[in-house]
Amino acid sequence: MPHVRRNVWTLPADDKTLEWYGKAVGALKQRPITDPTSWWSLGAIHGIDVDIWQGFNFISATTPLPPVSMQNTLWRQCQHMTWYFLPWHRGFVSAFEQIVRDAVTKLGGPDDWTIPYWDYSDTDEARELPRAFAKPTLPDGSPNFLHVKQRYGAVQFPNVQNPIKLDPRAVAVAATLAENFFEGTADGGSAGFGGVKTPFSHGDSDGTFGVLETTPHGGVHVLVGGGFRGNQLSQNPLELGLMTNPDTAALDPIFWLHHANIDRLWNVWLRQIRRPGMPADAFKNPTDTDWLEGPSDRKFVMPGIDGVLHKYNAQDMLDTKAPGLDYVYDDDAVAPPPVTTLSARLESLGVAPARASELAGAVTMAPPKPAELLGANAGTVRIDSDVVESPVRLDEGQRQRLSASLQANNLAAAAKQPDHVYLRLENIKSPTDAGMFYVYVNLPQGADPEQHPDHLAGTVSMFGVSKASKPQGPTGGNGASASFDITPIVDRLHTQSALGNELKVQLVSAVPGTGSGDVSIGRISVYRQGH
Amino acid sequence: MPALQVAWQAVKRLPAPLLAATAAGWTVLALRESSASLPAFCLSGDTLSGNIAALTRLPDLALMLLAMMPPLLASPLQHVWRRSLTRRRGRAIALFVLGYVAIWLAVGVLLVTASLVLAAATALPAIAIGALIALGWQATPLKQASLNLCHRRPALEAFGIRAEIDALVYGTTHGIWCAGACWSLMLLPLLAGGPLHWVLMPMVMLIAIVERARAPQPMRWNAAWPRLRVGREVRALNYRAACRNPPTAVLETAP
Ligand SMILES: [Cu+2]
Repeated sequence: MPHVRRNVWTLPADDKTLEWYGKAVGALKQRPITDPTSWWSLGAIHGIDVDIWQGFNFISATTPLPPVSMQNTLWRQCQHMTWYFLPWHRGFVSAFEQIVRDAVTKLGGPDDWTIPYWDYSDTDEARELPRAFAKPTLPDGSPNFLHVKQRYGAVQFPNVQNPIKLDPRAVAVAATLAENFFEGTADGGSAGFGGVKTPFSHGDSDGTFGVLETTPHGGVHVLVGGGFRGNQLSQNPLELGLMTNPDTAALDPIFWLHHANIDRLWNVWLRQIRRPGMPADAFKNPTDTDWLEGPSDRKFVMPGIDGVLHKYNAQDMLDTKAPGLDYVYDDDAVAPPPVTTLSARLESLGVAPARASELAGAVTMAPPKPAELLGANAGTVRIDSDVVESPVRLDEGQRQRLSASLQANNLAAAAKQPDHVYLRLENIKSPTDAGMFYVYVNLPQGADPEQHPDHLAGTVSMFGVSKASKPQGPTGGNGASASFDITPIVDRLHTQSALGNELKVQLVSAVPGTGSGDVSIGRISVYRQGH
Repeated sequence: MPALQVAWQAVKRLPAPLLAATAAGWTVLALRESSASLPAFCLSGDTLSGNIAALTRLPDLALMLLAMMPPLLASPLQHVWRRSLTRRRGRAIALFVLGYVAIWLAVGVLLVTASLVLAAATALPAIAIGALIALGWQATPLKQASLNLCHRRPALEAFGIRAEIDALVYGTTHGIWCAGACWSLMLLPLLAGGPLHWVLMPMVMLIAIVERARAPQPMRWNAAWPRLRVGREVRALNYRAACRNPPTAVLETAP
């Protein structure tokens, strides 16, 4: 029987999973960084910056490192802003789990240890950092290896959050799970549940975050790691908490529970039921060989428990019960939360209920057409205060086409799907990863954002953005892009006859007082996608 | 071979109009070559006659650009296309191409002149000098800097005259970065005549595609030599523990 990964917040009181996890982390930390199964090398597989690691005293200037050829093969592999995000991280977490299980067994523990997952979207209580990770010492006074003091940003603004509790907006997964397609496109439509198609490991330098990668993945990283610092953004990476920076994130033991949850959400998404009106490849993995066998310019490599390196690619990661992975989640049989069906959407747009369900069954399941630009703001937006508003002008011709596609009469007459609308933040640049903001559309003047969840488009964190902003970085200094499905917001504006020639986009700093003019967005655009 | 695989990926993803453009360029070049009535346009050392050469060769250079550049332009052109309003897409593409071609034609005049001068001025075969120049430029940090800049995908205004200016400026600056990355490679086929010319053109195109597909790199000497990460794995196979607690790292295929 495969190993079962369980929810960390609902483990039984006498459960020893976390106790053994802590002991194993201690043991892996004893292994030298030249050992591919050491805590250090496992962290470096995700990313390593030798200067930062020395600054945090994880290694010293004299620590022997593995040969450069070995580093180039094994280290700095993490896949972000690409459709390889999920399969690469699945192989990463699984290799880690097997190495920890082996260490637990060698320490005299059970031989079936699995990594628990942190489902922060589950309940109010679950948004808190699991308590076993927050105490510096164990009850007997010995060090708790699940606690790392470098987890907490040195300049947390206004002060260290204790306990760490995630904002509900950062972990709202309903919209993420409702995303129909795995594969995103860079044409302005959906960024896809799993990310944008990139032929090479770092794509066409467009740097678009996938939908799951944006929410909840990036926000959890930055809210756990912190390092916010008022309006004078810190350029000192040692002031950020480990989880905020991709080059240190995997050195926080909570990283693995976070990514186990991201991996679980992939399974939950695959269990969504395809409803009438949804295209044939909705809630399915890509079948494109570019994904299954790619990327073409490098191979993914992980160590086994014996330190032997194995190559893998996406097609090896599809079945978690396969011998190489050998795990399931405790909720794998639970029905996923329902997503808005086409007939519900048609009803919300004013089509009579009976006709709506009839249409939803009859609508041709055409794949989406390439997206077209519907409008954009003018000039660069700087996030220099807690709330920054930017007007997004809509092109008159495109707006009329959108309105016509949402018109109840038109919908009731022709079996055609109404358009989808996406909001894009393009060329997001930041000198630090410790930044995060919420994106709203048409918030009423002076309103408290938290009271208006129906205007929330999504969350953007700067996780990985500082690297993407460097001219020599993976996206050539173009920064990152994020995309949000704002169809429900636009539908509502339409039915209220409030869809004019302009949308107002509000960017609200997640931590008040941390806005900075150094964080900028090259353009805010809206795209219309027909079927 | 990884290089061919990467190039195939790039060509496979080419939008139809660009594929047609590149095919047209190669076809016309081949037709001109086989047509005996026209002089071989590519210099073969002994064909240097008259000084009008530089200008009369420009159409040939334009054809070479048409044949070789579309795969390199796919990504920036798609950027312009996707980020422009549908009704303005044609205009934006035209302005981008205008700026890009203007730069390359100016650089082209210089390259053709240089190729004539090189052929006339030295006793060595011009192609040998050209190869030295190309290798030298490849080693400089400026080459990698140009390649990095080729990855720039700037924000583009959507409305008004600002949209027009952005497209033109992007095409022009992209032309400069592209010429910075490719001028020394483009010089090679200009210096060779006959069969060698036809060997060099596709080789140069392959190198240009592969180095453009590679992610940006830190700017330093020798950063720009074409290399791929998969190549390095072979060296990792030879990794035999320099470490204290050495599990011998050997690559095996996934189970
Ligand atoms: Cu992550």
